[in-house]
Order: sequence, then structure tokens, then C-alpha cells
Amino acid sequence: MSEPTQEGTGVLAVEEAVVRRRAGLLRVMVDSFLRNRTALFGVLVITGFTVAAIAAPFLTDAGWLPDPNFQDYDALRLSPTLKYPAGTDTLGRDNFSRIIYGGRVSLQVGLLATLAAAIIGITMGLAAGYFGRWIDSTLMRIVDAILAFPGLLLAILMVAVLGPSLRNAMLAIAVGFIPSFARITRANTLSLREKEFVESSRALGAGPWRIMFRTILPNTMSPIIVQASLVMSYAILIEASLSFLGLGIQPPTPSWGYMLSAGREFITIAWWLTTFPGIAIFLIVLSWNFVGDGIREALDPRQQRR
Amino acid sequence: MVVVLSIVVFAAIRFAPGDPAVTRLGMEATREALEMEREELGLNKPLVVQYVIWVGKMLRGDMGVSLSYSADHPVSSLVWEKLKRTLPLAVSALTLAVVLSLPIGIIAGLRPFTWFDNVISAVSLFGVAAPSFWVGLMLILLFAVQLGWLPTSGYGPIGEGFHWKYFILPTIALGIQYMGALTRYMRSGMLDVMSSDYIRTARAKGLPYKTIVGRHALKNAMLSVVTVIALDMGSLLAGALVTETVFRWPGVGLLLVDSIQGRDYAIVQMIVLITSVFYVTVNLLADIGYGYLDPRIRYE
Repeated sequence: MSEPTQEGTGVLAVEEAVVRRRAGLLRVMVDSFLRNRTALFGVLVITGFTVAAIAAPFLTDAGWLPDPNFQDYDALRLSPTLKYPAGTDTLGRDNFSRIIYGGRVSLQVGLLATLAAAIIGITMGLAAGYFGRWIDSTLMRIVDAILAFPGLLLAILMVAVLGPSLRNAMLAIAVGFIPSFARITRANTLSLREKEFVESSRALGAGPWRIMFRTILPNTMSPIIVQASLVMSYAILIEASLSFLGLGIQPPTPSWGYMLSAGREFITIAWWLTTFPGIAIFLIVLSWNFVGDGIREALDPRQQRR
Repeated sequence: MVVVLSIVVFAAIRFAPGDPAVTRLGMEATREALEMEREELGLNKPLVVQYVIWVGKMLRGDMGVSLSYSADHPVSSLVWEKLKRTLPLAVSALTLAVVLSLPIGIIAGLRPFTWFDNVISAVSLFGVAAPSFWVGLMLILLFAVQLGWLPTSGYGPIGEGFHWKYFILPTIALGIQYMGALTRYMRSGMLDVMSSDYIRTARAKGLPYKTIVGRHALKNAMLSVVTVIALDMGSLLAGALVTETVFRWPGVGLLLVDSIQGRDYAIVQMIVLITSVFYVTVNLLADIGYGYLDPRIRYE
């Protein structure tokens, strides 16, 4: 990182500070984020997987990507070649195509579960922090009840009860992450509630909902965004675990977790079936972690990279 | 808290779709036989009554009878049998994780941004982001399939009992899951403390480096690590679930997965309840542990 500040001459540092001021806060944040190599790597990987996941059906129609469910009985368990970059599985399906399509499940579950958990959690946190008293204690009891179960176990229990499917997996994962959003939002709301700008908004006649969502929420957004990208990585991990245990989306729809558990049967003869889907999970989870850390560093001037 | 837990667990399992009487007798059973079976299992009584009966039995240590295993095989002894296989796995995995990651994290925290620290940071990031079941699969590929040093899965040779060779890979796979996060927390804890004012004071007083690190820094740096270890301990049983499935280790985890598929209420209830009670208890102990490490924290 070749920042002038590191070169040490005070004049340069001051000059840069002035430039930074002029460039505006957002610009500084984006700059700091983009100069962060790991965060940039994360963004690239996530974008890559997302574009591939969205484009997959069109690529298949155009004949560039094989149908992930096409079974070629003349090509059972082939090791990786140019034609099959990740080999074929035990039904002769193209493993590479299945990984691309599996990304659709992972990203969809991750995104929707995180979004749902964020919306519910933020609303709960705002209400608990702003209204206080019995609303606070009731909502926080609910949060405590959710936290009493280890994350994966709660998801497994819920899916076991509701029956395994994509929608239920998403729901189960979302519930498990409500507490993390609710707690952060509540803590911030508590400290912001008595600030002058909230007072003035109230004096101008704003109702509680307007104050909560228009006045307080925008000022608590940064920790929530950081949290969301970390939750995203956990959500994808848990989805993979659920489908590995057979509790996620049901076959034949390809999902990374299920591919791993199916490949496990043939681990002694077909290493590619257990290696590549795992690399995909690993890369995407790692990337969301990088992005989360990158946003945190960009938003928090105390943690600027050296 | 335990009461809330028990209600949630009971309600969740009881409202699950699927009729245990059908599971037990098979699809061809007559309506009369099904009715009698429901009567016998107490599934006809009002829910509140069922719950009270259930809690009463639990308190007496009677966890009910499994639906798919034979009637003279109480759930409590069944689960206990499996727990005896899971606990050694969980304990040795956590021990491995703590013994390895704490010293590594401390050294990395004392020498930040050196090559050692960079390597450790990269490796521990791998531990955080790689799904544990995939790490398990990769271990099998490397040590069992490629090198042939260790068996791929199971508890011991077929027909014989336990064998230590079968214990190694599951332990490592489960341990790695916790090592990444633990190392990172230990490192950042150490890093934070070492740049604090009171450490500078201790240095200025001319205290030897060993004393500063060992007596002054370590205790405070451990603060966040204790919570992480406690949380890990609580989730160990849940984590063992996935690892056991990978290695076909016949413990509680495999039992739970089988029981969910077989709609075996009594077993699922008991395993979830044990795991959650354990989790809550460990977290409470961690809060108490805080008080010891940081005397400023007091509980009324």
C-alpha cells in the first residue's frame, strides 16, 4: 500500500488530508475499500459467482454450458478433462455445470436469508431500543430464546420440523441470524435516542416510526452493513451444512452441500466430486469475510490499513 | 431459560408433520391399530397435558421410549450410549484446538505483521472459511485414500470395537473448525493489549518482557478468548453432528440425523434439549469466568 502518509513526511500527510476532505467522505471510503486488496478480491469472486449464477440458464440455452441434470451414461465419473473441467459425477452429469448452478442456490439462500434476518432484526432492534420498557424486554426475551440454541442446531431443528426444502432452509437460517441484527440495532438506538438531532426531529412533530426509520436508522447503518456481509458468509456455510445433511434443497437441483455428500460415497475413486464443490463454498465464504472486513476498515478511520 | 427451551423443543417436535404412529406401524396399518398406537403413545391427549407429562418424566430421568428402536430400549440409555462416543471426540478436538491455537495466537499477536504472523493469519482464515465437513472430506482424501495411513470412516474395524486409528481424522477435522477463530481472537486480543497504556507503563518501569507478557498482558488478552472457547464448547455437540456424518462416527450426531429422518420425536427432543442446556450452562460459566479474569465486572 503506497499511501503518502506512510512515507512519513508531514506535509504530504496534511496535503492528503486536505485532498481527502475535498473528495468527500464517501469517496474516501470507496478509495480505502478499493485499495484493500483482499476486499477487492472478495468483490471480484462474488461478482464472478453471481454473474455466472444469473447467466447460467442463458449459457445453457446458447449451448455453452451443459445442462446440469443431463445424464450421459457413456461418461460416468470421468476425471477432469478439457471437456469436463471438474469431471463428471456418478450419473454422468457435468460437475462444472453443477457447481455453477449450485451457486444459484447458495447465493439465493444467503441473500434472502440475510435480507429477511436484517429486516426483522433491525425492526425489532429499533422498536426495542426506542420504546424501551415492556416492548424492549419482550423482544429481547425472544432474542435470548433464539440465542439459547447453537446456530446450526436451531436450523436443523426447524428444518426437521418444517420438512426439508429450499424455502424452509432459508427460513431456518434467517431466524438464527435475527439476534445479531436486533442486538446491534438496539444498542445503537439506545445511544442515539437521546441525541440532539433526534430531539429536534421529535420537536418538529415526527412520529415514532418516522424517527426510528428515517432519523435513527440511517445513523446506525454502518455496523449493520458490516454485520450483513459477515452473516452472508455464515448463511452460505449453514446452507451448505444443511444440504450436506440432506436437509436443504432436494435433489436433483444441484447444491454444493448435497454434491459433497453425494461425492462422499465415491471418495476413494472420484476425488473431484468432493474437492471442487468445497472449493466453491470456501471461496465464496472467504470472499464475504474479506468484503465485511473491507467495509469495516473503510468505515472506521481508526482501523485504516497500514 | 431452561423452561423456555423445553417448551420450544417440545412444541417444535410435536407440531412436526408426519404421524409417529404411522412411522412405527408402517403405511399398511389398519385405522384401529393406528388409533391404539396413538393411545399408547399418549398422542391423543391435549397438548398441555402431553407437555406436563413429558416434563414430569424428564425430571425423573425417564426420557420416553424411542419410536423406531425397540420398546425395552429407553431413549435415555440409547442417547447415553452414543454420547459416550461423541464426548471423547468433542473433548479431544477442543483440547487440540486450544493447545495449538492459543500459543500460536499469542506469538502472532506479539510479532504482528511479520512473516510468521502473515502465514498464521492466512492459515487461520482458511480455518474460518472452509466448511468443516469439507475439511473432513479433504483429510479423508489425503490421509486415507492417497496415503493410506488411516481408515476412511467408522468407529473401528467392522465387527470389532473401537480402534484409535479411527479416532484421529474426526478429531482433527472437528478441531480445525475451532482453531481458525480461536487463533484470530487470541492474536487480536494480544495485539490490542500490547498497545495499551498500562503495558507501556509496565515497560517504562523496566519490567522484564516475560513478566509483562505473562502477568500483565495475558490475562486481559484472554478475556475475549474465554467467551469464544465457551461458545465453541457449547456448539461442539452441534459441530460434532456434521463431522460424525462425514466420518460415519456412530455418536449422537449420526443418531440425531437418523432420528430426524425417521421422525423419532423422543430422541430428537432429548438430543436437542441436552445440547441446548449444555450450551446455555457453558455460556453462564463463561460469564462467571469473566468475573475472575476482569474484577471490574461484577454480577449482582
